[in-house]
Amino acid sequence: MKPRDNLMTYQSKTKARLHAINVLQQRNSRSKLWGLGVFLTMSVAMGVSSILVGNVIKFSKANILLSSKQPLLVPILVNGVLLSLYLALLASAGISKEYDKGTLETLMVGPVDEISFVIGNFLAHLKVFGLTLLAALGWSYLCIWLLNFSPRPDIIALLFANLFMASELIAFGVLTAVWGGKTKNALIYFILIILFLSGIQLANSVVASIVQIENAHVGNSLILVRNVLTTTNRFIQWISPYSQVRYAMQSILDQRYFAYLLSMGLMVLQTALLLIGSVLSLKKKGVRGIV
Amino acid sequence: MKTGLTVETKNLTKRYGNFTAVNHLNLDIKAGESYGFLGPNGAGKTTTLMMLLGILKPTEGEVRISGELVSSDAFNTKGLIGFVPENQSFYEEMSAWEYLMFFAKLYQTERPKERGQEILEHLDLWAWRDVLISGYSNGMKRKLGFARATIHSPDLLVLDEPIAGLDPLGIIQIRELLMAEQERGCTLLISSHILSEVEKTVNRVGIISKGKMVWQDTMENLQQWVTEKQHITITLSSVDNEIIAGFRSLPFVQEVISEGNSLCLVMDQAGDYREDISRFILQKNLILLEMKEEKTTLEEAFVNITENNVQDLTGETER
Repeated sequence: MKPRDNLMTYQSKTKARLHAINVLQQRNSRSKLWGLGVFLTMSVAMGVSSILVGNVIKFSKANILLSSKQPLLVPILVNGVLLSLYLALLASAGISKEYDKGTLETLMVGPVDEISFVIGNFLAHLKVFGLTLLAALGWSYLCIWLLNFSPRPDIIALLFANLFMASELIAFGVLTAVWGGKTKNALIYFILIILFLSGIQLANSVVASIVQIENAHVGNSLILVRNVLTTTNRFIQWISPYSQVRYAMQSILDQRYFAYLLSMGLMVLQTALLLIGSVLSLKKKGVRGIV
Repeated sequence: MKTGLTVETKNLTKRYGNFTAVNHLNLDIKAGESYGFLGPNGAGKTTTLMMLLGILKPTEGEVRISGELVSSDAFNTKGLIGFVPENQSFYEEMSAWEYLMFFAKLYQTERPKERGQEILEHLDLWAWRDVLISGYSNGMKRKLGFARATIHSPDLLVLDEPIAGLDPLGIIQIRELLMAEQERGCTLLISSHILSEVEKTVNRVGIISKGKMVWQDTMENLQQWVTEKQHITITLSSVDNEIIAGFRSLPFVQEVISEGNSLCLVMDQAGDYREDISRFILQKNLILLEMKEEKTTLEEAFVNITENNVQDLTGETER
């Protein structure tokens, strides 16, 4: 084949792949928006965020001072965390259901390959999250208007950080779906990994506080446990989208914009790695779980 | 008029551990041809189809569709194939119309609405187009599977046990749809374990048994092969080994199968031997109770081919 033919084949494949991605993401996002789940989770997330804002107001009235430079950031973060977790679970369950039911086979017989399937599903969930972000933006500006807060660009910056956090979590959901194959397995993998990572972070803070309080009386073994947990926790903080978005939020508050961009970059990189992993796993595992 | 796609496999093999599901299979299906891929349950038909469609990777050998190696990113080729699997799965939360339009868009079908209406009307599903697929009966779902597979007017239509679960009217509708596709030049590959199911639709058959191709010829030649031997069953008042040996010694008798007092005489189709048989019975002073000619059906021939009597194409005898 001549180099020119190679280029044409590549171009035509890319065009066909983009078309498949677009059709798949449209169908999947539409089916998610037809369900009540997204709207229910969005309502719960906004309810929780509103309670948090209410608490800030109560505290400010009681102490005659504002407890935070930007009182809306934490509620927006909580809103993003809840919705991204829900959409990641939805991605994991939705894709593994395609495996379970055999609809994946029907798709892959046609003009769909592993890349277009993974990216199409990923984009569909990210698109839904993007729509919930618009609602969160509306909610934020309603709070600003009602409570007379100052409209700062920090909110937009945090909403962007939320989008990157969600993208990483959704990509993680896609990967667990491909690993699990069956819906039940995929959800178990997803929940166990999240619990394991959160458990280490929790254990680290508990052990660290014990060591700090009982400083003079702790044994070597507890110090060793603390050191192992601290090292593991440092690694988890690098890969955890929640840690990254918290770091991004702190960077916004401290006006450290390079650190903010670094967090975003890290989340993009991790999302890309998770998606590549999903495509390779799907290729290796095959549509029927056997190749 | 379409050109149709060709299908070619070379030494196609699929092994699962020590078990060989498909064993060095060579298929050569021409453009526009209607090919019946037959074999008993577990012969390796579906595994072969899955390899043809790029769903399973062959352990050995290769598959080419119109010269292009089958792979998951062969978008151009895959976009020209329609597939009706044996066990179909649907997005049950969608209506039939939404489902069809989704696939029409995926396959970049020209005039999708007109095409969708044409197919659904032909399959008597037009009135049900806005009903959710979850509310469809199994037969309706099977028809919808055909509609999905043909919405983009494919150049190669692969069907796995296509009429299973359909009522007689549904079978006729599907047969008409297949004939219309074939007239347009589409290549048909129909896999089935029932010969009569494909008899009216295909013009060439390949019979697979235990993963190996044991017969590949035109439908005409298969029918000729089936009818080239005649079977006459005679019932006598008593039968012993001497009588059986006497019948075996007749020059036109190729085989004698005995069952109680009945003897099945297998002969070539060169002539009518009933008179010769009657004469032999008289000579031996035997009492004839019944004589009848048995016609071999295609189904019986199919069983014979797949179970024991035929040398497979690799030269080994399957016994």
